[in-house]
Amino acid sequence: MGKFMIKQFFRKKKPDASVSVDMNKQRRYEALVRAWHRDLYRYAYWLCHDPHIAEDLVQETCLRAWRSLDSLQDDKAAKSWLITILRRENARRFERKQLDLVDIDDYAIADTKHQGAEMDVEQQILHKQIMKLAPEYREPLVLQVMAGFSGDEIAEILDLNRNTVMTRLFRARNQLKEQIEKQSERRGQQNGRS
Amino acid sequence: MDDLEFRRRILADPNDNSQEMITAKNASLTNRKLSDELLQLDAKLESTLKVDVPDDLADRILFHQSGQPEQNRNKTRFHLAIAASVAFVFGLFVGQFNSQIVPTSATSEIAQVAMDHVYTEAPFVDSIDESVSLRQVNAKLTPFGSELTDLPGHVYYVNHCGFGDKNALHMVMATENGKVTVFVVPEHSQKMSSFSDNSLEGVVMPIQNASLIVVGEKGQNVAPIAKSLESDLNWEI
Repeated sequence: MGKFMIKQFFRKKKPDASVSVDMNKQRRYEALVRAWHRDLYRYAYWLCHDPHIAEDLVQETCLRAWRSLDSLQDDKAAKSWLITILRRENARRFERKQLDLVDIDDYAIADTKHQGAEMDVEQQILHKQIMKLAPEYREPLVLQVMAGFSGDEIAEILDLNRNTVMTRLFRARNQLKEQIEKQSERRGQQNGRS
Repeated sequence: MDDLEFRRRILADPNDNSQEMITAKNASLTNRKLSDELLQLDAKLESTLKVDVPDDLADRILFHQSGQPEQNRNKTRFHLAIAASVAFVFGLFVGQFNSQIVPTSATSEIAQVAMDHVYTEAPFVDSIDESVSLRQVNAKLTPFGSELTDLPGHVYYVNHCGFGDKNALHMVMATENGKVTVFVVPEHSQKMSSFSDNSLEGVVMPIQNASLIVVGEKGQNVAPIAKSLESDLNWEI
């Protein structure tokens, strides 16, 4: 009798699947965070040049992602979905910042302090050169090289047509290449003199 | 593909491995060189772009999210809380059962049957003395996979009997403390327990997969008898 009642109790409980749905959502979210937080952080870093703001951006992004996780139908699209959320969050930050009147140079200083120690000279130079690129050139380059998106995917994320994206990617690399050549020329001249 | 077009496309995507680009890359030494140079640049770019990520970032994000007051979240917590409460109460309940109700309720059933037996067969058994031999006792014990090496005392009577829906061994024997009735019931019991009513007293003792029941008169110390019987029984299995 007692056993029967206990069985009944659990049977009744089973169709109420909301607990397991929530657990599934939690698991799905955790998997997404673990899979993509590095790309998100790096992307945020190259958008804002500051490790702390980058982390805040990723936190905000993930929070929004959690709230609207149900709208993500296909986990294969998760990465570009998350990047899109992050870009929106970054845009919001700029809206807020215009009121705050923060000097952007502060961030550049914070950045070199943070990364300087671990990088070799060549990487440091490249790092600076990437930062010197105009944001509209740098962003597609980060998406292509760091995140591995195709031209079409970048076009969708940035809401541009593909030709524009490819032109910007061309200009980004072209500028970097010229700067590197200039630098080695300068070094070559110095070596020649001494 | 002319040089300008090639240059435009290779700079936009050095990893463009479409057939026309592969052909163009191999069309001239200059193209080949530019392609290699850009692949090298991309490798350096990639390692530069992949800045260090704080080790515990993922955990911090997940922790941050779990602290957010959110409707869905509350629902989850509510359900979890209910589930935890139910589990807790259930645990308490089972604990109670384990310590008290299960042994007494399970064994009291056998005990009751045993006492009923003693009462109903008393008029018949009381006056009987068959001076049962060890061989006869062991013959009756065979179905239970057990036998005795020595008779534990004078055995007045031994037989199989219907015990509830099972067949049990029913044995009346003499002990130092007087006559007792012994049952071996093919029913598992959890642990030793005692029972009594107005005129009878007994113990149920688990042995292998069966139960040994010793019933004596009120005030008779039957537990030691059960224990010595238990140690005299040899199990084949």
